[in-house]
Amino acid sequence: MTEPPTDPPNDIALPGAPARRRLGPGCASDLTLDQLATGELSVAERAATLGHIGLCAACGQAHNRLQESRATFASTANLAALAADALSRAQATTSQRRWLFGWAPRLALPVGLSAAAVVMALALLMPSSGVAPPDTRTKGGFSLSTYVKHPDQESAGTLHLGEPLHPGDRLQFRYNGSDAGFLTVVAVDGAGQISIYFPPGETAQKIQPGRDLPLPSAVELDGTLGREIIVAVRCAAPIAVSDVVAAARRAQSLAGNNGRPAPDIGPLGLPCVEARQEITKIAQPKTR
Amino acid sequence: MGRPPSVDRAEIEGLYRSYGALVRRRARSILNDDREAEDALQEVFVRVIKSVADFRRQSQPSTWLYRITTNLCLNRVRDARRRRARLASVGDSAKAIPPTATGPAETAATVHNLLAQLPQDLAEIAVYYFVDEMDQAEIARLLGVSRRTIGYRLERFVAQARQLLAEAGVAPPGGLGVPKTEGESG
Ligand SMILES: [Zn+2]
Repeated sequence: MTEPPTDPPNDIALPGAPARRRLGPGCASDLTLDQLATGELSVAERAATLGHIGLCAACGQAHNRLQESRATFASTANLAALAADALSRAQATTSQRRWLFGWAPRLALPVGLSAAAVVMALALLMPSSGVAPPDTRTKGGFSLSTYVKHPDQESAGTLHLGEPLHPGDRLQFRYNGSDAGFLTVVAVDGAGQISIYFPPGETAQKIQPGRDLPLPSAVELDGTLGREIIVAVRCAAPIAVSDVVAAARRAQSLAGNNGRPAPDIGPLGLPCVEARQEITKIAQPKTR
Repeated sequence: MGRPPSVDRAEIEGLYRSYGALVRRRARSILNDDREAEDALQEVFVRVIKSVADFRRQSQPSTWLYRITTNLCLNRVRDARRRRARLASVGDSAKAIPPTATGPAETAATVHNLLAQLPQDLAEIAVYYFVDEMDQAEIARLLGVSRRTIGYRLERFVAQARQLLAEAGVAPPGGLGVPKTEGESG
């Protein structure tokens, strides 16, 4: 896992694909071209991008392609029907998923090593579900998925898909795995603090094999901003939660010695299976 | 508990007008299928409605939509692959990668085939880099990680892609993997 000391190259080719469109650092990504169209660029960025696409044939063509796809969508899509369909689906999934989570805090968990972290156990109303959300970051058949509920969101939690989260958001986890074992979930935040997310007790909790099985507790994110790595550890034998925390701390100091900042820790080095999730916490944006 | 999202249809229509094409286009690139892309478009907007308070506060809604769309579509690619897993081996699937390719459509096809088989954290970055043509610094800002981390993950994605191709007996086209310096720093 040790990374080489030199920076990777800026331009990386993909087997089986043509060269990238970008010719140099001034070239615009599709995201920039989209933001040009949606008015999200600053005055300076907008001027620079417009100047560049006037000079660079590759970016000019890409810009035209995006404009055409916008025009096609606007002229062919039935926006009213799409909006009505999305609204009815959103309401259907809201009522369908409402019973999956009990989001009211019930008791405070002992907070790992971090006084900053506020971790609360939230009792679940009902553990099993017919809804099968996709899992992510599978390792050795064991994976973790994260559900989020924002404080101002309606009752249902939604599968976390990498969107930035905010202090006060609540997370609930589900796991997939073909083997039973003993589960611990810890997190390392941007300040290098380690917190225990699961279980509330001192020993890793026995779990059964299955798909999308929710853990019977959830956590509320504290005010520490930045990236956070969540590590689920499934061991074949019972293990003390403190041993998992100690392993995370060792991995953290090893990463620090290799020049990697918190929370980038390598494998915990336990004889167990790991699954990871990464979240990014940002301050609550100002109301526009 | 359980109150419907506080958003009306006119607002959602407006969001489709502004962002529908973007989401649809990217879903099509990742999923490589029109019908799947239509469904993913709706799934993304369901997510927008359910997180509408959060969405309204975004100063750059497109970046939010890029991440949501990418991850939703990658999940779909993976689910489809799981369904197919009983029918086809990894080798057969890797052979579907066109050995010679010339344009954005071919890049999308190649990336699509690789995405199903490589780890999601690498796949997400590969989409931004190879499909969306972002540079490494731009991806680093989007994900909140260092430029170096992005570079390493891209290299891992490409190394694993090359291995898949080799296992499938598809010779990578000449010259691939020789990095040229783009001149960006970060
Ligand atoms: Zn250009």
